[in-house]
Amino acid sequence: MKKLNLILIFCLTTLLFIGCEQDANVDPPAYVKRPFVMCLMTMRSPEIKASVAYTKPYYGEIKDDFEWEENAIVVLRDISANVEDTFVSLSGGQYSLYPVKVILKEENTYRLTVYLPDGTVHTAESTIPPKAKIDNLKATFVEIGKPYEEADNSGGGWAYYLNPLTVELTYKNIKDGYFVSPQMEALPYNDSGDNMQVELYFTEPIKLAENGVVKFLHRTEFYSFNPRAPFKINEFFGSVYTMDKAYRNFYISQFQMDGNPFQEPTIFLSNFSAGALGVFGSYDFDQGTVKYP
Amino acid sequence: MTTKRTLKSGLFLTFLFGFIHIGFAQNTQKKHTISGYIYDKSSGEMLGDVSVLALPNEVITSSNKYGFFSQTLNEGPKLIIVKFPGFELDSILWSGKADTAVNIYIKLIEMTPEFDRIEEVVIKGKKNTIADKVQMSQIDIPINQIKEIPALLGEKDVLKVIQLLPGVQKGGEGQSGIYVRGGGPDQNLLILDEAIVYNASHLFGFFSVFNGDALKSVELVKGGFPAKYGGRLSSVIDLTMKEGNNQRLTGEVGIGVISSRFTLEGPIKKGKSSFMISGRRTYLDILVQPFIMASNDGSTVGYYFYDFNAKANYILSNKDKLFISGYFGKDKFYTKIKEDDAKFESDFGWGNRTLTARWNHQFSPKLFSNASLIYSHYNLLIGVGTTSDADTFLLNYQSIINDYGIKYDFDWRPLPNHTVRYGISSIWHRFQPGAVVVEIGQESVLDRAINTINTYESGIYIEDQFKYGKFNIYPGFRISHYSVEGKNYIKPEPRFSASYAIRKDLAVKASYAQMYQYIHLLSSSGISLPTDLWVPATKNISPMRSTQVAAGIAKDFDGGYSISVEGYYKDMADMIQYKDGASFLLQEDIFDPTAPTDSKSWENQVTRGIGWSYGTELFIQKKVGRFSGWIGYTLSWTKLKFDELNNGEVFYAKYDRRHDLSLVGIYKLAKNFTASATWVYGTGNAITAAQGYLPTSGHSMSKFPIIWNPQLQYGQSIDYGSRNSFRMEAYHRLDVGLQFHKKKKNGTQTWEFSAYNAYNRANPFFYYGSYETNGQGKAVQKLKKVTLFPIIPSISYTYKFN
Repeated sequence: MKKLNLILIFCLTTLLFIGCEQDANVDPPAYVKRPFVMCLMTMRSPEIKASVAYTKPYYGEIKDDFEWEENAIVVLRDISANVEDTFVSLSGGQYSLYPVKVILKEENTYRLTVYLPDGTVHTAESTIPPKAKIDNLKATFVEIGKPYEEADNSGGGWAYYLNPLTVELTYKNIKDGYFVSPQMEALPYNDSGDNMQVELYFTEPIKLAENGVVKFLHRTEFYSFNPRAPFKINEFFGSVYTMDKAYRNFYISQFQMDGNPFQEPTIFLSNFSAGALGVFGSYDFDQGTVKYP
Repeated sequence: MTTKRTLKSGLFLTFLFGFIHIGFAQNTQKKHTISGYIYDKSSGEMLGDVSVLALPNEVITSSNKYGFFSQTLNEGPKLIIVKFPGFELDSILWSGKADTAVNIYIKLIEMTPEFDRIEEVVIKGKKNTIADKVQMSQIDIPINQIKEIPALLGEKDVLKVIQLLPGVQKGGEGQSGIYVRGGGPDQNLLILDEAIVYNASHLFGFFSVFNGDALKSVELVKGGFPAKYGGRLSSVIDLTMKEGNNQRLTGEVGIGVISSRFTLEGPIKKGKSSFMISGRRTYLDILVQPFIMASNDGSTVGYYFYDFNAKANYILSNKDKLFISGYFGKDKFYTKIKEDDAKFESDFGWGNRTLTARWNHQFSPKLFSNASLIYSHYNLLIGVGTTSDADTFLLNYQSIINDYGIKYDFDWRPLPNHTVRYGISSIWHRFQPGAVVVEIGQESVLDRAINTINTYESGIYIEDQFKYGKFNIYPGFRISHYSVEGKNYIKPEPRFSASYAIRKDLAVKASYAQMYQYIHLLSSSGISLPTDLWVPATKNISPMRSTQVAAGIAKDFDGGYSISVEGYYKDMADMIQYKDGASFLLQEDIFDPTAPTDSKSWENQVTRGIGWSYGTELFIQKKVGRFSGWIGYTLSWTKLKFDELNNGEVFYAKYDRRHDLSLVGIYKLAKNFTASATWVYGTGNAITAAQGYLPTSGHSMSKFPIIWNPQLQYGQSIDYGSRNSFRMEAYHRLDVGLQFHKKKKNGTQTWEFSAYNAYNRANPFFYYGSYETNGQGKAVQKLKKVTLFPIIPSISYTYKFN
């Protein structure tokens, strides 16, 4: 009985001394200010632009503005030709370069070096992708399925039709290791004079070239109000992009950071060295029409 | 090429170690076999893992999980001693002149404070103890002990107790998902009477689906896997339901804070057949329903779960037994809201169903077999609907798995100290990873059953457990075959365990196991949630593979103490995770009727990678006596590397835990009074937390290209640093419980008082960022933690009649 009493006393004491913590502040991760550099090159422009700034803390007092670095030295180097040009500093951490010694060439690799006033040096490399050519993009499969009626159930009395559409676009003559992305729309029409405009959203919008070929598949349905005549497609309009891995990572990062609380946070895909964040990437594009068949 | 080589060497080793040894051993003097079954005298249930010792040769074997044992011994009289923890010793004198079949009934020890003395009667040095077992990384958990350990809201939970063992970690506060030696929650094979249970969670994982009242045994294997197991990388949790008392009607009813339960078992035909049924249901929804209904115009919200276990068996003859068992469980959240002439309803539910039919047959005194037919079903359903006079909208999302399996296992005991097991199994999995039905009005505008994926998973295995001098050797080999979408995977899975007895109570052990897993769980949150999607390996997504080596030392002490220390290294390949930014909710095609069926399907949203885990585990246990319990400590590291995650750099797994400590104590203060306590400590979970903002100038690829300009489209993104680079606060908690038993005329009543989180530790459940205004009126961002459970006292009442 003595033991029982001891146990009961212990339990009651524990209950008396319980805390009453609720949701509480906790120490955030230690913040380290990091340089942030952006530079996206394309042979379509004679000017190469860059920006240099610093990150700002996420926790603590919220600051409106970023700290821009106007006193960095930004140098572009052609690694194979062993020549370099230095960017001109504009205001607000913006830098500009009209290359003189450096010539942008397909499949050539360049190094961007950023010398910061604190003595740190950060580098990144980028390879200019092969020129994008709309002529390399072919429609290799197009199928418009049988339209079916969708009734309006809200009492409006109207109806519309859904036309299943499958499109496969194939980009050829691209070296492996580069990425391709078509941005196209289809233009279905019928003999009754109906014209539609259908954006093509591919299963994977950016794909890596393998064996010189990249295929993009689109399957959806487009609306029409009149099935008077079957739809046909004989051309697509838009542009096609080629890019290196750094540009592709940047593109994916910027569109995946949408704040969905159920998803894993997206890590910004950086290719700068020595603790800097940022992207030094390259891309090219071409615009035009793809005929089918 | 490598596969073929492994296949050949594995088979070669198995034959070399096992069958050649059998061949040599057969050239000795005349032998006879004693075989039969071991039963619990009071209930008539068959008992597995019972030690059977033959004197004077000191040959030891144990019964299989169906109670069958067989020993082939040299001619001559023998004393056969039968020992099982918690049961009285029994012995028979065997003439040893001819093959003999015998059934042995052993009696449960009356629970008295003195019962530990009986244990000391066991013949010294020949106990079937931790040092004596060749198998390492395996722990049997006594069901009675589970019932004495305090639990959240008094709900006794098998998986929560397993979380207290070394090498096993829990995911988060209250979660029943388990992480074994660095593996994810999908890497555990949970089998209930041979049937796979896919989602073992009730109430988002706060409780498991396994009702302790319906269980007979629980076994955890986390390394050195026997070849009979396959299909998961990290652990096997093998649960066996009670068969039912074939001597008399007994039962148990329990009333708890959130649920009530009952179990009834008894003979259908005394001594020949029996049944067991057990059920449990929460009733919070029923209790609060009148208050909710009274406070509004009929709108309601609720949640319940239930589970039901049933089993029946029939002894056809001493050589043939039939069993049929089933489990049915369901969780359901529901909402019904009425507003004017409109009605909104939503359902969110998931459930498992299993059905197993088994036939035990004894071909000869040395050969036993078990054939099983197995059905397993898992479904997840999300339904949302709005009904009004003007319009109707209904959306249903379902994810379903159906398994149809067959297994045939053999247990052959040809010689003293040899147990050969072999068998085949095959499962037809039917996966429906997601199906959507959208109805507007009376019309179905979308009925998109994402193509059912049929896969076939088979295995054939052989293993031999034998003794050679001071060595206990356990080689095994399994070949698994998996067929999906016209592609066939054939994978060799060699297994090997060995122990060397330095002394009778001290052994060193080592093991090696290669495992393949043909199913993945896609989780967007890193913790186990019902919305996680089970998906099969396909022609594009390879099966996962793990290779694990472990070594350790085990020592038994007088007084029922044992200590084991194990070190392990495990590597894992072809793991999959959602790519950055992808999630269950982002599969827009689920909700967008115009989206293509196969766009953004799960295969496009995942990325493959590798992982590795290593660590040391310490386990100090006391099984018998007035005080029992254990100390489990794990020091471990778990790292992952995915090309498309974290910039391709190595990162810690969310469940990487440097230190994990569990203390469990059960003290029988008196015959009718038990006190228990558990204390756990774990390093905080690794999470990805925002560190800073960075200025981004976006660039949009479009039909009308523009040149990137850093001065345009200014915005800011969040710098998360490295994936899982921030640690949450450490987790620790004390639970205490008191049980008062009282004998009544027809049974025993038990009152239990317990407190979960007794010192009210505010353990973090998740972290979030919050904007606040400081004293100067400026906006400040703070990091906050949410704590789920403060101290939670509970009371429950159980009446067990017999």
